[in-house]
Amino acid sequence: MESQSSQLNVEMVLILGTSGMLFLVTSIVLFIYLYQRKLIKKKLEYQEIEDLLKKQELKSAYAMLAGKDKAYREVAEELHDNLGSMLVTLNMLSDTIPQKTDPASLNLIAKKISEVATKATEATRQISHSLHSEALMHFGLASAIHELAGALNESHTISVHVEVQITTELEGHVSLNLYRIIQELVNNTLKHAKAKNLNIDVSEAKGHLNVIFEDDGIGMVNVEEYERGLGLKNIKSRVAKLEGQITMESGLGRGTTCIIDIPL
Amino acid sequence: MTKLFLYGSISSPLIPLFIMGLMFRSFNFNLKVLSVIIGLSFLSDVGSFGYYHLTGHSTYWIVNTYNLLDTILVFFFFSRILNHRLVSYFMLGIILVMSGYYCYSVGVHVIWGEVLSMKNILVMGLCVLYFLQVFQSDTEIFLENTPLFWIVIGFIFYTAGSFFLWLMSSEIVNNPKYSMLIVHLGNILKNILFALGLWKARVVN
Repeated sequence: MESQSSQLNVEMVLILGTSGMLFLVTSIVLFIYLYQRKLIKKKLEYQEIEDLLKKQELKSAYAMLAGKDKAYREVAEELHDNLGSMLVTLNMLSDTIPQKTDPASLNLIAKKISEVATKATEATRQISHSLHSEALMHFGLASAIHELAGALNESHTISVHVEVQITTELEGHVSLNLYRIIQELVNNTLKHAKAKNLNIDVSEAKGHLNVIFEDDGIGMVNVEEYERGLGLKNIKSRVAKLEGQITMESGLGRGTTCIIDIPL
Repeated sequence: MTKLFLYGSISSPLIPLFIMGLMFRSFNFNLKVLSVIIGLSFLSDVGSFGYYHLTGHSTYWIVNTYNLLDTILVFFFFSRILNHRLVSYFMLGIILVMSGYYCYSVGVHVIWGEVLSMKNILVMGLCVLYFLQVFQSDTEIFLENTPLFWIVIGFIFYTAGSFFLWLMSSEIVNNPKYSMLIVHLGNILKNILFALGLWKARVVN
């Protein structure tokens, strides 16, 4: 009887001890496994973030290179198509001089040469300007618009009033496109509007950039027809690029107002 | 029920041995050592079983001899997978000295319970050392995908399960009743885990 009881105790100790041991071992293994998994997951997450940052950096670098490449291509096209053809015309005109003897014809050729040379000078200026919008690059949009207005006011052909109120630092492409839009609008006013006064108002409100461009020129009878013109197509394309909206209002003798709204 | 576990335990090494037979050539040296350990376990079980049924004599000398050889191979295996292999050799030395002492003092016809318990404790220590090593390494691998993880778990479960049995073997040796069930269960579990490890090695290869 005593022997049986002793045997039972031994077995009880054995079973309890073994169970405890197995429980301990299981806990250790489980802990190591779970902790290792957690560590690896964390490492993988960090890796993913690092990869993402690297990708973003590469993307920015590519975008910068693509932007530069595009600008160079545009300049090259401009040089070839515009300035190149003008120089060819100049060459042709100068070649015809020895063949002409009468003063009237010579005068006519000289006049043509002068005209083409003026155009070539203007084209050169424009190309140079597109390569270097230095005021815009160094001092921002407000300074660039003020500089543009200053240059126009100095010509005494038109009085330009500028009001720029921007607190947010604009991204490079937004500033550049906006500046080009204003340049184009100024060109149109100078070419067609016969305006005496020009107001350029750039302000920022509720995450939007508003440009109000108005002149007191002759205005237009049909805005839609004007909108189909090449100059405005460029403006519209730039506004669309910035995901903005453009509205034009005009009437004969009432000048022209252009309102542009761009989300920031 | 007891017989079922006994036969299950004897035949359980066949599962890893079968996997081993499929791809023994593709295994690395460590896995080949493990295969020898499993093979030896199988031979020992079958040998003991056959010897007892044929002669009716005690098989403790087979158990002791097998455990001595198994100890050498197991510690050698751990010396291969651990960075601090000297620890493993030192532990092996302890067991060999203990075995020598027991062999001299009590002979081979008495089970060396204390030696086996000590061996189990030391193997558990080596398993924990292996986990520590994995823990401290910089390699980012999921443990469950590595063959060694399952193999070491097999070792640690078996040694933890049979530790108390060997420790108290002198008490229960005359009337084991259900106690041997634990060893059989541990052995089956160990061999299943070894098989899993070898299978994982096959997948890795």
